Amino acid sequence: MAKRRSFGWGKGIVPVIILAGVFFVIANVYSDTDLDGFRPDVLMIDLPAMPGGEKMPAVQFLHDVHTQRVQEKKKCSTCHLEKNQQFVFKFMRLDNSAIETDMAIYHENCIACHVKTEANGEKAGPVTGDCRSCHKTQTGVGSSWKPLSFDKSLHYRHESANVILPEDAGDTVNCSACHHTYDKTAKKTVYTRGEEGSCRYCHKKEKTDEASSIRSASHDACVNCHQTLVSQKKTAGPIECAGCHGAEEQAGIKVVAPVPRMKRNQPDAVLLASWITGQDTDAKKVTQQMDPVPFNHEVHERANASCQSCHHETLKKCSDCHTENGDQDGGQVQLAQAMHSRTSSQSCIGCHKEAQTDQNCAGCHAGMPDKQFADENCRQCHRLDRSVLGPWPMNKEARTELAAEAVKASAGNFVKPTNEQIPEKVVIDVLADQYEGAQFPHRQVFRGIEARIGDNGMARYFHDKKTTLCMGCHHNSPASLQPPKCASCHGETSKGSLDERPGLMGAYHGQCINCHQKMGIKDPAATDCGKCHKEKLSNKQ
Amino acid sequence: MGISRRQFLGWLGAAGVGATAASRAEAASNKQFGGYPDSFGILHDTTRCIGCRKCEEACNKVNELPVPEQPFDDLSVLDKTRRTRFDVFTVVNQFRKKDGQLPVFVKKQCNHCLEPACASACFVRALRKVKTGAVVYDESLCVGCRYCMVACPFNIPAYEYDEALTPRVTKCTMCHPRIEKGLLPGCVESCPKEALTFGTRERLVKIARRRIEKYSNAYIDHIYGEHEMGGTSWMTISGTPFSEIGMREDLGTQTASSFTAGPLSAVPVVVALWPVLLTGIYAISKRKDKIADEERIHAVAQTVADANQEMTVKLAKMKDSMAKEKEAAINLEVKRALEDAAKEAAESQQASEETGSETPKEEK
Repeated sequence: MAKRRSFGWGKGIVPVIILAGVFFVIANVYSDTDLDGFRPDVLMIDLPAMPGGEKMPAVQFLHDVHTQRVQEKKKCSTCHLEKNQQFVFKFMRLDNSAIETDMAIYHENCIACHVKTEANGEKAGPVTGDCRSCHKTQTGVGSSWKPLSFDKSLHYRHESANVILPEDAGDTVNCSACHHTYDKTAKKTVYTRGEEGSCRYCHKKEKTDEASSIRSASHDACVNCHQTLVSQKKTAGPIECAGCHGAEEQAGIKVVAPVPRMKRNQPDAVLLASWITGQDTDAKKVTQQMDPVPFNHEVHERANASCQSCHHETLKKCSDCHTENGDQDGGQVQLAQAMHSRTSSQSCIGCHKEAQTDQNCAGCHAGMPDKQFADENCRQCHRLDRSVLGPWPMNKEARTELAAEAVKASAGNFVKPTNEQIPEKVVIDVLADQYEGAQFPHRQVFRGIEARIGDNGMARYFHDKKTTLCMGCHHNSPASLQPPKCASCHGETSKGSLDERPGLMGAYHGQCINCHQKMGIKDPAATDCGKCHKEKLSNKQ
Repeated sequence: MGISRRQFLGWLGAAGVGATAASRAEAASNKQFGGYPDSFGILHDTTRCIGCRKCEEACNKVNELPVPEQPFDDLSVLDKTRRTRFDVFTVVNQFRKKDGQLPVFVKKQCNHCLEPACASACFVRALRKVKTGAVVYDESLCVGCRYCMVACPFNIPAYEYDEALTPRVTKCTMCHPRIEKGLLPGCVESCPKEALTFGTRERLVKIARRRIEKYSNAYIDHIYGEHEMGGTSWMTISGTPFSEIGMREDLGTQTASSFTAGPLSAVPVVVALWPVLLTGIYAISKRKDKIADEERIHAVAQTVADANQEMTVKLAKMKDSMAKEKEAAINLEVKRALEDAAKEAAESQQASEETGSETPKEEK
């Protein structure tokens, strides 16, 4: 959040911006035709009605129109007061007060400025008596305001900017320029090294007792800083509404790719298993625990948009809130369930499941039941044999080292079977009757699926055996290069079947057609029977 | 005194409540008719259906229906939403989805309700639910009222309007004759994707539940037909909300017959009682009229008689008085005459005495 900064006011100071709970100022100045349509700088000045009083319609205020007019000549201070050398983004006041007072501030100051501007022979907004010129129920301008995502690239550009200086001049990183925590006893914000996190962890959508709203906080911090830099004639971010919230302007924001990692002292690799960090190494208890997961934190950081993708409330580790037996802080969600929930995108399984809906993956994965845990599935993640752990209690360094080794050992282990191991063609003719047998280009199909894995790290990691991809079709039997035939398990029809397995015809068509549909393969069409198996001539007549 | 219209309707209402009270008690118990045990059904999985129309073709063949104008491998017919016809027992409809997703195909045919609305509407029992699970039709009983067509919530039964002499109601038979021979229904046998599964209804419900659980993202958590209209033998599962694939979601879980049982149970009552009741009412009102008539006639007669009598009495009195008056007058006249005569006689005697002439006694 906002850091103090000395403001030297050069020329080109722009009177600025936004506000927090209440909105601003002045009147809906011009009726220029270029103000029609949609703009990103539309603010509504809408004070609450006075008790028992009538309420005038809210005033639509075009902020950038006003900043452009006062630029060059006047300062931000035309409309905004300063406190601790920071502009307070409320109109001509430091905080909201009684409705009458706030209303008077708007009326007096807006009108006074309009009168003065007009006296100078310039075009100006409405004056006393023109009530309905500002307080209109219908306005010609719509809002095209877009929220700005402060992504990893923008973060990096700020973090690496020479003009953004840390609080302590001797510091090598400038995190302290923005990040802070709230000291409850001192009732002020302080910078704590290593405690940096998303603004949103404290600044929620609405103002709380301890933190302003995210809207307020970001305008106070960002705009003030940009403003200061502009006044120092340094490279700075936008100070006008459109600069951050205009669609066109957003598209023009430079993106750093690939973006370097954030410096938050986060691990590259970590062993996930809450029990190994504890002092309790009681043998009996330990045997009940899962083997740890060597977790590649770096890869997951890169794959996700922000830390919040996983760390939803704070940047603490999962087990701090999600305890083994569930806790108030973790919303009573137990650790094991937090990691394996199929419905939350912040759990391992939930996020991976979402990834499987990708068209490249869905061909096989859409046909797999929601919950399909086999021994080897658990092993895929929980794969550090506990025998290598110890001596107890293990310190962090030892754990990290083990994790790094394990992660390294598993990198890029996608193995392709050789051509000899994949039959080239399979003739499916056990059911041939109305149609001739189907000439199934088995190897071509396999290689096609394989190609879809591409360089997707997650796919390469999880399809780590020669037979893994085979399992997409040759399901429900142990992975093998010589899997049983379809007819080994599927009877000719489902009649008399004790379970829900389809008959052979349903199984073949289900496997081929569903996969094609999910992968978006349009040729052959599902209903183009002759494309896969020729219709017998005798049948056609 | 007769009964008012209000009273009559009141009785009828009371009879209706009495008739429905019995079925309500039944619904509250934990026994419910869930179809014949081990009856068969079919499960349609729309997520598997590719719209190839093989089922339509097989249905046409098995039921020896007329060959349609457009062949079954012409999939352009799917562009229009169709319904069952007298010569088409099943249709596959296509429902397009937004954003480039694959269309959904839904097979439509008789759902073979556990307690069919059509059968409950049929007063000659031409439609019956049989133990295999099929709802079968007996054309020899059908009178062609087409109440079944109106009753069916799924809009299935069709009618041979073109048949001048022996039109029939037609619909899917669930291949009842084939099932009895141990064969699969035509459509099920022909489905290359096994989007249709045949089995006992109980097993199908289990299969459907398991599929929904195993592939929770692929399905809506509902088995259409498990409870709709009290349950159907033909059930459907889908990955798209049923309302978006042309399936009614407003049917509720009560059987059609449970809606009609109350009012219809009043029918025998009405049929048996009305003649008696109406005849009675008629007789009573008739009798009342008759009595009133008689009374009126009697009253008039009485009045007339009374008047006559009075008149007679008056007349008699009048006659009497007139007679008396007359008599009195006569007597008076007689008396006067006698007095006159006596006076005359006395005068003449006096005269004779005076004249000496004696009045002869000639009168004697």
